[in-house]
Amino acid sequence: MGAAPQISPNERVAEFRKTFARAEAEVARVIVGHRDPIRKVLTALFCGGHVLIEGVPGLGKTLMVKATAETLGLSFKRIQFTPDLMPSDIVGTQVLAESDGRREFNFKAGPIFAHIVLGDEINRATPKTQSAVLEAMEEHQVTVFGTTYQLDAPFFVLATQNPIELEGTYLLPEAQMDRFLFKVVMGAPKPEELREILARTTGATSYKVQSIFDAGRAPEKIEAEKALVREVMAGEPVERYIISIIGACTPGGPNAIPEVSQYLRFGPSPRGAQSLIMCAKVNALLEGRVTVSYEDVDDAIIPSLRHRLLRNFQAEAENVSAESILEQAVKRLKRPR
Amino acid sequence: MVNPIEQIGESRRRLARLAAMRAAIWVTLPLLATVLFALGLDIIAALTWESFGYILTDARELMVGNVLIGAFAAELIALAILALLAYRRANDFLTTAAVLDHHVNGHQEILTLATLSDPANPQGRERRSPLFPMLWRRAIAYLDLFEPRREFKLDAIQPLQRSAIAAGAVLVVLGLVAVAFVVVPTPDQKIAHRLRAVARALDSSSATPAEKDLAKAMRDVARDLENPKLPAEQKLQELAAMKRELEKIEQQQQSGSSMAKNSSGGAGGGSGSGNSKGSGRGSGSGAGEGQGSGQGKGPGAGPGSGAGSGGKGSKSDQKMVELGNDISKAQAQIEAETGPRDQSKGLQQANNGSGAAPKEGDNPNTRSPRNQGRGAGNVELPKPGNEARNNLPAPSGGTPSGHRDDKGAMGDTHLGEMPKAGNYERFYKAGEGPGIAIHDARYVTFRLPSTAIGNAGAGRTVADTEHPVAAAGFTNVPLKQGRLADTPDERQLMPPRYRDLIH
Repeated sequence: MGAAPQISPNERVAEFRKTFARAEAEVARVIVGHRDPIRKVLTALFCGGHVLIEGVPGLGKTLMVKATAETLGLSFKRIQFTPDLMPSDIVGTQVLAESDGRREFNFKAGPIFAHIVLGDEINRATPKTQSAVLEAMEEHQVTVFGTTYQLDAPFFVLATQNPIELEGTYLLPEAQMDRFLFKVVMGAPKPEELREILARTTGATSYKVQSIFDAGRAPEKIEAEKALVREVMAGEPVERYIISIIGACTPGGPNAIPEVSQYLRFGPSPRGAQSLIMCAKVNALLEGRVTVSYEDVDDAIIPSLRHRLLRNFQAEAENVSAESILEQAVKRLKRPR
Repeated sequence: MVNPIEQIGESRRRLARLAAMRAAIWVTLPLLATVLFALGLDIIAALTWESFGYILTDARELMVGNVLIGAFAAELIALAILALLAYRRANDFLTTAAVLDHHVNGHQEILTLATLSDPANPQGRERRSPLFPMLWRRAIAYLDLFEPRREFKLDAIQPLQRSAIAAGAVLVVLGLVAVAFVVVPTPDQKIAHRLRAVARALDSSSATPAEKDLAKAMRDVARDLENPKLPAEQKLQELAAMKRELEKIEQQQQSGSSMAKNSSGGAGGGSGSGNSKGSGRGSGSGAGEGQGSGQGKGPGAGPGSGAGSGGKGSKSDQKMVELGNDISKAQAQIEAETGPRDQSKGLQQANNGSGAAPKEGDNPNTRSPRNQGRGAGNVELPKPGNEARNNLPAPSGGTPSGHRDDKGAMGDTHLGEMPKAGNYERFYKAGEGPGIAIHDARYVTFRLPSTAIGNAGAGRTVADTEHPVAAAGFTNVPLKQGRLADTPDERQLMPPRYRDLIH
């Protein structure tokens, strides 16, 4: 239930909506278009999840993450994943230091120790290095030489992935993909958006974002908002609707739709259901409600589940996307009651 | 301030009642259709299978009646079950909340509130969060002005549409069931069926004890006719008795018609002396309907016309006339079927007074044992409550029924069936008969030779040059003047209104 609120529920919900809107507006000052990716990134942040951003180079993925960090006033680190990147380069290592004539190992924290971590082109690192991020993402802690170090809250990983130039890359294993709350796909800007981008980036005027929180209070504020999200209620029929969605997307399951059985090897895990309901809760709060509706769930289906569906060879050969399968599933599902 | 939980509860009861009513409506029209089908079975029969010569025998009509009763009972049970199921299905807290949610566009807020406050599920309360008070207030805002009686009204159109389809299906099924039971009637069955119809008409249109007795007797005769164990002669006796009874009724009607004639004729008399004619029909009790037309003659007399009306039972009278025809036919057919056997047994008295048309090809001039029998019948009509064949009434005197030229059939061409004579060949054909000669002829046709035409003294003579001239001499011979001894066996079914005019 979280800490006892000092203010009324109405005020808490209103504060959340205000914070979210200000953050969106601030990021939008430097990112032209991409309203939905921005919203999804902020949603994941307030849900306590991580986001995998996929898009071709030059779309502003890194800029969006940096702008988000600056807007929220959180610490930010960027890791450029390369094939020779080692796990210790991410989590940190023990270094031998001499102090008062004594030599001892001190822990040198890696870039993972930040509120917001940008893993750029995460698919270029080796699986060993990629897996080093797993514990941090899931447990919010890292272990170095037997010593466990807690990561500061909020901890938010944004990884980018380039869908082209796949030679020499290591596709993220399913286990790691499943740890991302959302997979956000950034598309090419529209012509008018591109013209605005040119105007902003090639002119003399530079755009800077400002933190929406007072200095040093951002972590506390964000944690309070995350607690509020968890307090949003979901009725039993809505929960059954989410379960039916997961069931419909699970190949071999009794409720799987034909397309799922035909084109998928694996369906979403329980993390997918958690992701759906958390995202739906944020959507409900953004609408001023404290209960989840079916529409809130529908809005969260594709970003929450598309990276959790493992397509088979037939689907890849026929170019059947995970998104199209999810759309079919939603069409065929009947809402309870 | 409204309590959302109470509001949901009230809405639940309202929705449950409406659901039960919709389910009841769904079955109502099929139920009504079944009742109407049962009540209108006679009309349906007359319009459909009876016009093609099929009937529902008494036993099969009983079966159809049982089917209808069964269908009615099944529909009643279905109505009760459907209404109960609909009531129970709609009488659900969460279902009502979902309906309310949809009604007020609540985005599942009412539904979520219901899941967290369902009286039947106390565990739901444990899942309430600190945000629940806000949900409660929002639910109040949704339901504050909500009035279940006003918002949830009975929409009968859709269930009525479905009900109409179901009623049509029920009618089709019932019709098929009835058609499956119809049969091509034997003469016995046909006359029995007709007897029952007349008996029903008598029962429904009159209340006099005599008519009720007659109706009862008709039913008894009908039952005996359908009894295959009864001998044919027994059936013929009962038919003859019934026919006499009908003739008696007819005579009473005739007497009633004379009264009607008097009354209608008076209206046409005009002033002074005048001749007036009228004809009419009336019931036996004298309070009959009458139709008349009159024309006045003589000084000071003007044309006059009058009409009398009143009375009842014309439909049953008509049925009885048709019944008389049918009885005659049935008697003829039964005789035809049992003829050789009857002749050998000498049961010619069975034909007494029946007025049955002879078989085609019979020689009416030859006295057969069958034709010899005449005179008053000696078979009684069955008394109500007793077995028909043992209770045939004594001859109802007056009418020497059984004579060939009586008016037994009372047929009327405008009443339906054109009467057909069984033996219309009154005369021998050439080469037939015992020693027939031209002297026996009633008339002969001949052609005058052209020479004779030329010798004619007056008139205009036209020579026939196109036909051959007779080669042999000829002379007129006296023709036979007398009539045949026997009355023609052809039954001329005389319309009642002409009987007083033709002698």
